[in-house]
Amino acid sequence: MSDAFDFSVPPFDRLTPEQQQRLAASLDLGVYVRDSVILNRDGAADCLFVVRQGLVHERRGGEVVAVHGAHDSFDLQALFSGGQARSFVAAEDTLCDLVPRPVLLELARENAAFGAVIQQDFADRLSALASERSNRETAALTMARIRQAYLHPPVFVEAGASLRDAAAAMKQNKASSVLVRDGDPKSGGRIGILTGTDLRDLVVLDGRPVDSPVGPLARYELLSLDRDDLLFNALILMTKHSVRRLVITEQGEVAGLLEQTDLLAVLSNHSQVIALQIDRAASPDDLRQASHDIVGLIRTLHGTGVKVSFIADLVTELNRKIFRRLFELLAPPDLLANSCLIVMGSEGRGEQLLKTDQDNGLILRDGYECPSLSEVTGAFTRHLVEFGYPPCPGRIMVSNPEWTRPLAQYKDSLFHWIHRPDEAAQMNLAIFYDAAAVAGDDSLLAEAKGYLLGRLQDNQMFFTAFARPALAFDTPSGLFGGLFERRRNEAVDIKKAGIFPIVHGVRALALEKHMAETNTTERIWALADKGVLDRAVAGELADAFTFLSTLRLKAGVDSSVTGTQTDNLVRTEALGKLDRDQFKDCLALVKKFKELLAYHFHLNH
Amino acid sequence: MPTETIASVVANGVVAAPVPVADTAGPMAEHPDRALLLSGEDTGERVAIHCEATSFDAATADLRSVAALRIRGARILTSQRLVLGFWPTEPAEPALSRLLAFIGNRPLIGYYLDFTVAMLDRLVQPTVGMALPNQRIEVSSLYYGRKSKLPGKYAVDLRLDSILRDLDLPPRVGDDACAGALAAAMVYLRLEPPQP
Repeated sequence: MSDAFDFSVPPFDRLTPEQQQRLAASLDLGVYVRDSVILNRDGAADCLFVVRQGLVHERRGGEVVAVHGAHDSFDLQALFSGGQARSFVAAEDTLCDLVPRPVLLELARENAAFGAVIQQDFADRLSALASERSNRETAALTMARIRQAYLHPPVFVEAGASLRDAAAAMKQNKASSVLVRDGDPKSGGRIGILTGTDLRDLVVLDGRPVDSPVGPLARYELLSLDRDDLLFNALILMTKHSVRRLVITEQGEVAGLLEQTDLLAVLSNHSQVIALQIDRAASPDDLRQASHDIVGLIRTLHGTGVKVSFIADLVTELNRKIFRRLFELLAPPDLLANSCLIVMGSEGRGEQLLKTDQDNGLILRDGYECPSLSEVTGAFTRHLVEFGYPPCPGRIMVSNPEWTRPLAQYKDSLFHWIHRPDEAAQMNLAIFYDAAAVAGDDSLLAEAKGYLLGRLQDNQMFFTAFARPALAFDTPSGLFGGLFERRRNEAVDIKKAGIFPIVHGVRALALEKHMAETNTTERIWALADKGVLDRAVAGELADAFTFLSTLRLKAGVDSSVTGTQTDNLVRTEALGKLDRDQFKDCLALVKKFKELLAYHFHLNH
Repeated sequence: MPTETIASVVANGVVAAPVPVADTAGPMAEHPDRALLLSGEDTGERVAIHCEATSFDAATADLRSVAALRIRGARILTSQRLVLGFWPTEPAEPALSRLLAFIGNRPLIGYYLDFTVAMLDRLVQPTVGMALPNQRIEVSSLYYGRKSKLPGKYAVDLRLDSILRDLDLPPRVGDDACAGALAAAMVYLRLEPPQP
């Protein structure tokens, strides 16, 4: 029947005629219309799809990462390891020959040449995925500008000042060098440098009197770069001339000094360095340093224009590593084996950029008792606060016994939250639905979540109540655009007006469809795959969500030194024209999305 | 009520399927296949079916072969196809029994389906005691329904090969019953894709 199957295309040309016949007899045929989902994100595949005609887009989030045409096959990862973060969507009307997994495995076992090709493809695939990530980050670092590094403010002395004056200026300003101004630079004067090492050599070794003027002694061949030059060029210049500092100019004026240590600090804010630091941490103090470095990493990546979703992925991973390592350092082995540390809320969704309130909990195995439990959990929370994760105002933390409980009690709470919803219950349910396992036995969380989804009937009343908070805050936009213009000087709370309605609305839709995803963007795309959201709307929504998160990050990075996020206010007049227009468009879209939610969940009745 | 289990179906094979015990207890007794056809079980599947006969007059033609394919979601299960040959000199019951087990209560899909069902009913009626009760989906009328909505003064070309060409589906390989059933299944899935 599948005479149309083309056996001349690798790897199938490796098969013997008898094996070809066996394969042909085992084929099913998939018929997919345009825009239909062939293989879901995380969906396990029971067969290898070989495109006979048509075109298939491999998507990650909203991006098309690969296109499969006739004779291409997918997806070995879904077939063998599962959990691919990609979905496959027919871009045209498409026919696929379906090779069942058992037949493929059997043929690969029998026919070594065929098996080798399949295995090689699979290995290539995995390594391509792995290197893509680290490339993006390295590229970002090579693009970093000097502007992103710390510059020491310049300390000037006049040419007539003595060596003693120069030393005093260094001490007073805690600087390791001074700049010597010989005449007015605007009228042919020059600027030189005198470092601490120079002073030592001149006074101690050469025996110059401390009151001799610095003017003739300073070095005037300055190595300088513009502030907008690449950090990489600074590194090269320093290496070439074996110096440890450069003079940085901005529009011809001296802006400051770039020290080698500060330059290396920026370049070493590489996620792999931090990850290594976390893995090797032998005490909570080592982790504190790593946690501090994450803030620098965010700044560098954000400064070089790396996409926020990518930064969020990276930061989520590093934060979870820190939590896991800290828990492993503090908890006795039997506690580790009989409990599951979970993070909830934005951390669970993997959307945390700067350090927000800690939302975490501990699920204990039923029947397990740990004598030192309260000390461990108390220390855990205390250390996180030290690392700069502010305590949760709602006390959703492991140190609170309410959130460190056996599985059975979690189930009881879930039952209450569902069946006796009040405001706190709704919120607890919402953040618990976003929970992700960080350390210990993650089957405990899986069981609790399974219980949650199992208890949810198709109860419209419940979902109506659950979704309602998405409309709780006003989104200034739409018809009142004019009013918005007049209120321009008022700051908009970007979290309440934009981010929260999207996050919670998408969460409600996802919960209604019993989805396992926790990340908002992933949920949006999964909802599009299920046909709940129109693909175009999903794309706009995901874009708006990314844009608003970027704005929020920008506000946070600018306003905080410690890297904690407290301020969510965006002042529209402080935005550029382009940003402001896009911001207004996003808010209009959020408004539209709220209308969709109101309609979907009958919130107006 | 005994129901026949769906034995693994061998492509094109001539298999000695269990012959249903002919009911002699009286006109009120039910044939076992009847329960199969009327079962309430929802498999979510459909069956594309096509036949070959000696002519196109359903009253006088002799059935030569029948091919049936199950459709599950967007997939045509070509690996489990059923192809049966009928010969005037051989009893039709064993093959018919396998066919009814394969079809069960699933909706039938076909091109010129009325003819196929009429041919089968000539065999089914006397053995089971009723005509095939399955829901029928005629792909040419699905196609016509889609085409006649478009403005234009031309008659709709309803030949199967023309439909395949127009829908950008691969042409039939040969014109046996199996190719016909596959073509009907593809046309059906293209015009009525399963809802996600």
